[in-house]
Amino acid sequence: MTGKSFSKLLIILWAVILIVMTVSLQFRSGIFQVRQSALREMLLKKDRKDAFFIGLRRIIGNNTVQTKVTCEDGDEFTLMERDITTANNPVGNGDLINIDTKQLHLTLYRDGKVFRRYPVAVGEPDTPTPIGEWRIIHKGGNWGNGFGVRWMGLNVPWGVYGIHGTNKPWSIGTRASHGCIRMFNPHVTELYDLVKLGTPVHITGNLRPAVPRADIGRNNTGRDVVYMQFALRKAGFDPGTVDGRFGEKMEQAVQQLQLFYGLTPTGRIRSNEQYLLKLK
Amino acid sequence: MTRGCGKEKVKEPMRLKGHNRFIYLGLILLFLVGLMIPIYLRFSRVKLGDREIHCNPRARINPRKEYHIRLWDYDRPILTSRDGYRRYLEEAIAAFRKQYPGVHVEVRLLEASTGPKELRQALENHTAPDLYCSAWEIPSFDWDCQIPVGFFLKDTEQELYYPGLLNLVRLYGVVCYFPYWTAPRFWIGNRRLLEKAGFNIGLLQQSGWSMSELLVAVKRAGPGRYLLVGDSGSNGFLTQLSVNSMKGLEQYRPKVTDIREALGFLDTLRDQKALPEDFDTRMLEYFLNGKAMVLAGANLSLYGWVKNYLRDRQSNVTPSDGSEPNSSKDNRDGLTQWDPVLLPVPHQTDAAARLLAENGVIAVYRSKFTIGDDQIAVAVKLGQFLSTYRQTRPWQELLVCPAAMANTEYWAAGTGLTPSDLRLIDQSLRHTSLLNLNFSPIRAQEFDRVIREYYLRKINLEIAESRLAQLMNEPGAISF
Repeated sequence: MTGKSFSKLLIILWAVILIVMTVSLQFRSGIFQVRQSALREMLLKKDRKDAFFIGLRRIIGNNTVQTKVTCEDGDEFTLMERDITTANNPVGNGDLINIDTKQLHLTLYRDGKVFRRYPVAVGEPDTPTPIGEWRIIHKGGNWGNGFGVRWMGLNVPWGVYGIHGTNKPWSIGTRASHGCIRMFNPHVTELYDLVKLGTPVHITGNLRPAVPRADIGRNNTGRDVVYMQFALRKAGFDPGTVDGRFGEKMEQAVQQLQLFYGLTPTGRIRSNEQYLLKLK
Repeated sequence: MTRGCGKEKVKEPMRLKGHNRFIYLGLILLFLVGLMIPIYLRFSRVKLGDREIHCNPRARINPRKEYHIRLWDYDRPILTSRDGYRRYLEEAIAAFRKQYPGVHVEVRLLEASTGPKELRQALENHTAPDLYCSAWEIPSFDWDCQIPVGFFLKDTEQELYYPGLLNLVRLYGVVCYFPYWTAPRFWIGNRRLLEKAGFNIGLLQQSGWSMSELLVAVKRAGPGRYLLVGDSGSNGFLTQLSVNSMKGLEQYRPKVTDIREALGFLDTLRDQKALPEDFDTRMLEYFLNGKAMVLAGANLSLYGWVKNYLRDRQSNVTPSDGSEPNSSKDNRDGLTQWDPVLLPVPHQTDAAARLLAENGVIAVYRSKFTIGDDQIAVAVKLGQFLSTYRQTRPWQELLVCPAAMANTEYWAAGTGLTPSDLRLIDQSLRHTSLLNLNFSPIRAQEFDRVIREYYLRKINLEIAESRLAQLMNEPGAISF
């Protein structure tokens, strides 16, 4: 073998090693470029709901909790969520992220004390950031230019929402996004390293009234469920986390409301309960 | 050696003699103890029905002894302040401890959804609390652990409570629980529509009304208006009518005839179009918008809510909760401009009126942690104190009536009830026979389902009757 061909071989070997390292690093950080491109394609087709759940299923793999849910538009499907309570998953401990959509800042609380505070951009008035109490269910990076260097997905049941970086740093401090929370890239990188999966994310601000469905009960999801959960809490009945999911705890809260006012404790919210919760 | 042996020979009979003396003394002691045990047990047992219960009403509280009492109650988070009920309990206990400083009370607040199950488990394991305050029902009498408190109370002490409530907690004539509070079910009327239909509200509140009088009002309800709407659950209007169809004052056991009569009444209402099809699921909508004359089967909490809702809407200013004032067509037409009025439940002409109610009671239990009968005496004293405690702040907010008669006036001052409302409540609790059906939420839902299916003609009379009778006669459905 000549010296020239040997050096060619070395260059090829070097290139192969580089490719392998890059790919393995990508996998280790939980980013599946191939899958992500399919997901983005579906997002562009505005099929956001399907994109979210198909993408989520691919990302979170076998470690899922499946619940049959009914959306606001009446569609029924299986909601697949990462089981953040299992021992195999890292779960946030004592951390809480609060996003104030009025003040436009994100605060990380650690053990009840302010640990970090960052300016953010939130949703435009027509596409508001979802008010509620969510959790980080996915951590990843490099979703694409628009999403900046890091992505932390939230368990909002009606769309794809998350905390991410941006390639439009001038938008920070305004209402410019489609509902996600934008941060400066260095900030989101720092936050990404600080928080774990399962960290609660409380988004506060003006809750837009949602028209409640005429009859709603266990396993329904949607914006109107968030609205009802806040109303229940205001009335003194604890629905658990305000996460847009009509679960067991919320059903119990509705039953408590019904028992308190002497109604049959069906656990469903219909016309009477809407009146009692001042939704009508 | 020989001397030594000699000494031993001298000592041996003496030791045997002493030994015998101890044996004799021991035997005598054993005999005396054996004699005392039945005497002691005889004195510390009371008879309830044909069974005996280990309970010593003669036990006295030792003022120099320290007592540790465990109290279980339910959290009532809907009170204005989140920890309001716990604070109220702590204040009450502090007031009790002024009289009994040696008593330490450990309070545990249960959740309504899991509390009854926790109590059942604790009773099975003999780890029940000394005092248990129920959430809405009268728990079944526990023959192993429960203390019938009536044996500890003088007649004058029992007379402090509403007679209707005392009757509700009697077993074989003995008061077995302290009545704590009650949520009776009344009807709420639209004063404007009722007066238009020719009813004298004052008279109606004073002397009651019969079902036939109610039916006369169907024709007077006016076009586009219904006679009544109401909840169809186990404590709803149909159950009220069925218990008010009963003749006599015996312990309530529903008969097929009562249920048939109540279902027949439902048929009449349906045939005369006195009831909208969705009379239960949209009852508030109909009633609040002035389209129904009566809201049947409501507790005082709902009555208070209706009053506040209408007041906010009628004031035509921004309601206290910041929501938009109502500007619907109904409101502009004046359909919402009316006052709600509390009404008694109509009854059959020849039957005595009965009042369905949910109750909070205080039960006293013996457990493996109970040290002596004097501890039971302390628990009874505390139960008595709590059930007659003059401060009734939580009951004012929750709009449930305190069990002690002397507290009613004081309680009513903070509730916004009118004097005529208060008179009706007071008279009903004094003179009407009360019933607590102790229906679990699941059974209440099933009851509701049967009524709806019958009303919509999905099931016939026989099936409805048998299913309702079965539900009402299941063990645990009725008190005790």
